[in-house]
Amino acid sequence: MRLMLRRRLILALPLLAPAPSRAAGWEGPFTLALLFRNLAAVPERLAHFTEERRFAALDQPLLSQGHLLWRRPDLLEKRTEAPEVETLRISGNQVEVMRTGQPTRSLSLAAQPELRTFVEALRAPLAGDLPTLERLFESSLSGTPAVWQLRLTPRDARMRQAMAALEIEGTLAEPREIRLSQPNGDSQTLRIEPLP
Amino acid sequence: MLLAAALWRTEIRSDLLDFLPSGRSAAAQAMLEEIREGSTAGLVLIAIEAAPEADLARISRAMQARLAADARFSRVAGGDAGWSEDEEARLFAHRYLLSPASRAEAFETPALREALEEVMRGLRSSAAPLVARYALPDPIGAFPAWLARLGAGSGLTARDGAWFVAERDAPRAVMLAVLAGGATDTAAQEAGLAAITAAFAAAEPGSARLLLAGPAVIGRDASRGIRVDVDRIAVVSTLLVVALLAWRFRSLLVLAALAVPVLLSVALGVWLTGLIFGSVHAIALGFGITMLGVTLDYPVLLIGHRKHGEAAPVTRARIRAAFWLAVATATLGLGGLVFSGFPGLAQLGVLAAIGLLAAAGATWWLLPPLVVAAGLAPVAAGGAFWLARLEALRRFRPLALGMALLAGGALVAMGGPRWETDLAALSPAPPASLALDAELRAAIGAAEAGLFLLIHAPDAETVLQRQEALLPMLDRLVAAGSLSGYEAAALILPSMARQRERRAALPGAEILAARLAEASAGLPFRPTAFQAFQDAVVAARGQRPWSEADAAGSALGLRLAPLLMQRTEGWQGVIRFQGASAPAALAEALAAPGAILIDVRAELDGMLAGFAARSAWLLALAGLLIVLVLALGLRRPGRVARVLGAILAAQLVTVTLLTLAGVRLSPIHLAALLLVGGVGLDYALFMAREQLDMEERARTLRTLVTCNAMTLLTFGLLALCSTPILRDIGATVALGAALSLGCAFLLAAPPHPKDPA
Repeated sequence: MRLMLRRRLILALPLLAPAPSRAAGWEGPFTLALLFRNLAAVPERLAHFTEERRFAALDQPLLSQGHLLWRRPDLLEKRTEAPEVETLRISGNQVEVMRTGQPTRSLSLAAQPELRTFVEALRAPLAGDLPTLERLFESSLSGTPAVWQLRLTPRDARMRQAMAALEIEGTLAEPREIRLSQPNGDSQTLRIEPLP
Repeated sequence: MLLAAALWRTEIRSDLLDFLPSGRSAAAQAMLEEIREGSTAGLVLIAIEAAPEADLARISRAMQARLAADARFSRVAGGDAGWSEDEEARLFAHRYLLSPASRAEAFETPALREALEEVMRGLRSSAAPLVARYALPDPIGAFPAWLARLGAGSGLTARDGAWFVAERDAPRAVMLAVLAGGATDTAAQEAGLAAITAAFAAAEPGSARLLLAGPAVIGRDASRGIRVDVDRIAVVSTLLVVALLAWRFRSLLVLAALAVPVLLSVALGVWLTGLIFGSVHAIALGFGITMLGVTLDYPVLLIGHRKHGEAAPVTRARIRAAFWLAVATATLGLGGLVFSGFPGLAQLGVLAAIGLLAAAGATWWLLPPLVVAAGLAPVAAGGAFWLARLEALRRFRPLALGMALLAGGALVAMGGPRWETDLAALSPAPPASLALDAELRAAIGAAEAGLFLLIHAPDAETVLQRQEALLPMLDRLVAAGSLSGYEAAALILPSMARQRERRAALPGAEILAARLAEASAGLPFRPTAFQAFQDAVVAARGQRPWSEADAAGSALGLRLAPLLMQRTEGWQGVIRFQGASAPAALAEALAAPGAILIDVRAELDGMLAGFAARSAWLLALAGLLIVLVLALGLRRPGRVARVLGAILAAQLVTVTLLTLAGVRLSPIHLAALLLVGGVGLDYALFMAREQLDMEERARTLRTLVTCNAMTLLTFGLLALCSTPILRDIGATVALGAALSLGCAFLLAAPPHPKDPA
């Protein structure tokens, strides 16, 4: 019965998302392992982003935009260009924050477990690093390769006070939207448009 | 049996500080007390290396968890700030009394406006979630300002819940644990160290290696090193000496007879020294027992001079004068150590003096019946054809004198012997453990033990207030680069007076609300955005200031403990410095009531410098006494001159050779030289006897060579030890004893021995 259903789903896939699903590497049941294998296959990504932050303390959302750069194995760079220029570069265990007119601040991820959880929530999917992801988060995947949602909840109770949940939406090997919600109602949404 | 009982009954201490003079200056005294009782004494520095970083972090976390649950440790740190969530909440709630950022101006509208703009920038930055969480309830940044003053100056970076030494190629995780027992309880220290090793083993270390340092570890390594060395040397040298004696006397009974005075002397010496001083220092004990091995000479001298079948009184009569003079002068010389000003050396002096007298007494009164009953005497006693040829060597006497003069000249040319000024050289600890200790200390940056400022006051509050008076100056020194950082109790816990001042400066609820409203004009904050901040300020206005007692038992108290402690009289605060460039300027800048700046190196150097002057006097005095005794005993100036000449020549050449070899003389060398003097006196006095027949001269020479061979065997082996001070002792005594025999043979003997036969 289940086999039948699965076969039917696979047969139905081309109908749902005709073009991309024929791409190699997406055959078989849609699991976290399959998604991560495909995510890991992309060595470098460049994207434009817009970010919207909502805080309980503010009466209006804060909007910003810029560029995102990912390079295997562990470089993630977020260049905010407006309204204020700031570059956040995460490489290995090192986090650097560069703002115009200020000295570069750098911290070690290992010394900041909370920051690490944030970073790995973004980086582990990009790197296709399933072990790290599963160590830090409870995860649930839904949808299809064409439109998927990955929901992450920190395993560490203390961490859950800072991050209620993180949701990533994507299409095939491209994350398109990352939503972070905090227990106090604050939230951040990052929309990503891949650049060729 | 007696020996075992004496050793078992006596408390043995291995702390190097016990070997040092009790400080004469207030600074020296305070320093010794701080080092002995201060919390740094119970500090164990733990390092793990030789494994990948991830494994090291895992092992470190496992060990931290296990040791933190162990009541034997009062503090375990190795990963993060070390406070629990509850504690952090408690500290956060108290931030407006604790933090230096909590000043009246910080709550005025202009400062608040700046703070709110900064919060806005933070919310726009990538640190937004953290800013929202920490800066909204504390826009003036009081808590981070307080935290920043806690963790200055460390060379560690935290990764994966473990501290790693920064700027190191191979990863090395570091932890520190403070033993609850403090410095004095040796058994507790051993148990604590064993617990650390067990925690390491339980953490499945794989290829990783555990390194321990800190005072407790150095103490353990030192006594373990000495024990291993002494055990090995004792076995080997005993076997060699026994073999030598068995060959010389061809009798096992003689061994038993010889053992009697030696064992008696050691037992009596150790027991009485323990009784007089309350405990015996390991160095004094180790050296003392080795030293008393020389008392083996006494029975050998007695038996070696006996003719076959001779009655005891006859033998005794032949050697009486030389024997007792040798005993008296050796006792005087070594007993002089009592006045050296070093407790360890004083113990050694007492131990040696008692031991020498006991061995001599036993030889003289207990041994003869045994010797006669067993018919003990040396084997080869006949006329010796070699004697004449050997004695003909005495024509080189001028050469020996010339050599002594040359040595004296060389010594003067070199500017006299060099004195040891580095106390570490005296330490019985293996140099490797000292080096590791220094390395880990530097990495942790916690306690640069070399320089600190002590402030003493009747109560903790006064100590904190006096420290606070110095803080502006300290900050100026840091800004000027004279210091790279400092740790002080007042940075962690302000005085209650300072907390009350801060509390009084906090604005009331309405005023703060009005100022916040004014400050946030044009910014997108909702009116409720800073409610948590406003509530906290209102709460702080009703808070009771924390005293030292409020901090006790918490992680805050543990941070405070090494910096603020109760003493027998009053309280003491320690300000520790990092990267101080000019201690003298520091002392001048930080002059305050009840404050003493302590430069450990300078203080210890001062102690050793005092020692050099003192030991010169001591040697002179001991020499004078020995001359007096010799003059009384020998009566004839010629003989006195010959004996003294032999001793002085041997000592002079020994010191010159040591100096030429680059050795710096320490208190240990002084004791060794005094021992050489005692041994040399034996040789010289027996050689200097007049009117002896050829047979007796041959007996004397054989006996002295036997004695010398025994000394060389024991002390020569000691020179091969790994413990530095044992090596020093061994080399000095072996060299000195060999030279003494040569000089005694050449110089002390009467000029033209007449052969009555």
